[in-house]
Amino acid sequence: MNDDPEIASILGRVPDLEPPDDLHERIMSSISLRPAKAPRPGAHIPSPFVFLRYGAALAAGMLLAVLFFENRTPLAGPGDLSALVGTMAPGTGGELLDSHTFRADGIESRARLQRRDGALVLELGIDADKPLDLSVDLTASGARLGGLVQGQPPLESIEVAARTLHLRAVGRRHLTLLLHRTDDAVVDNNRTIDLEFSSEGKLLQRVSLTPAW
Amino acid sequence: MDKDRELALVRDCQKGDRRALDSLVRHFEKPIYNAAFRMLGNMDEAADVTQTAFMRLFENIDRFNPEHRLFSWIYRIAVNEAIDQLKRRNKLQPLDDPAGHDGDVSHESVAASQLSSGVQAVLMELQEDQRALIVLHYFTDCSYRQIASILELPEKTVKSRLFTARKQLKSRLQQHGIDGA
Repeated sequence: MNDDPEIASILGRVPDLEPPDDLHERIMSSISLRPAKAPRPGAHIPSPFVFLRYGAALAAGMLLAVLFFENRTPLAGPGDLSALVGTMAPGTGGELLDSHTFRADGIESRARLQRRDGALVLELGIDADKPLDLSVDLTASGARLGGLVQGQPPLESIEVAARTLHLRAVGRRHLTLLLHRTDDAVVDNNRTIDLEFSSEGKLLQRVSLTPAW
Repeated sequence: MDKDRELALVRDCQKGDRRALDSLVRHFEKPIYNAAFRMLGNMDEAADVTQTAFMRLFENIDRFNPEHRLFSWIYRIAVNEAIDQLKRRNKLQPLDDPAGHDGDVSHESVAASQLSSGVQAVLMELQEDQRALIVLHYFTDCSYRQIASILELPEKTVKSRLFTARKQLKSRLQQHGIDGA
């Protein structure tokens, strides 16, 4: 079981590598320490950030693009996107379930997961000096995409697959996703909506929001 | 870094102290990056894995159990992230030159660079779980007990698997003409 001296000798001569010069800054800028847990349902106070930063743009251009993904079964009743349209102003209404703020050089993004009228609503606010690529992975969420609404001006690109969504944005952009619980979703506090932020081919941050079904 | 210092910094991080965060990141980033590189053989991916490991660690820093050591936790995250990255990877992706230097280098550094590349090539031929054991044992100086904690395996299992991994490694090093001379 003891170390082979020859192996120890060989591997002991392998030099350590210096991390990239920017790695420390990348790490530091991707971590936001939170002294307290994010507010839970019922404890939500709408953030003035969203009102101030995106309110004007949204008031002017909101809801220009409304996409539905349920042609065969039109949305109706709780979670109906059209019924939610009037309440889609960011930061308004609903119970805040989870939120995350991401800041890196020249990029700021806020994600807010809320429950409104029986559906989940994920608001994404972006203010980016350079193109930000964001993927939203619903694989582990117990939810599927019911529809999306974007403010004006529109995002650079949006690609939607069965359980994932990839978008690219630069400048101030806003997107609201309507999510429906899948039939097979069971009550499970470990469900997550996984977000991945990257820019110029570099991963900046991964974060998981908890829908707390 | 001793356990008390580590714990004090963790508690400061839990209160939102970014200087404490800076200290912990500075202390661990190089060994984590090196371990990730030895797992992946790619510098960019190693940097991404290092960054992700720290992000995941500090997303959950409130849950840190002071009975355990922080380094065990972050190595565990990093190793798992590296294995996930390997699964995602295009298998045809070429390995980095680990040296990555320009041409004006000494004979010693050329030799070290060649050794590093050769060893890395051999490591990449090992199974992922064997590679993780070798990396943790030889490149991070973790004890058997610490490796057991990181990989969540019994210490006895670590020893027996490391024995097998070492045999594989030695055989492949010989095949590549890398010896202890």
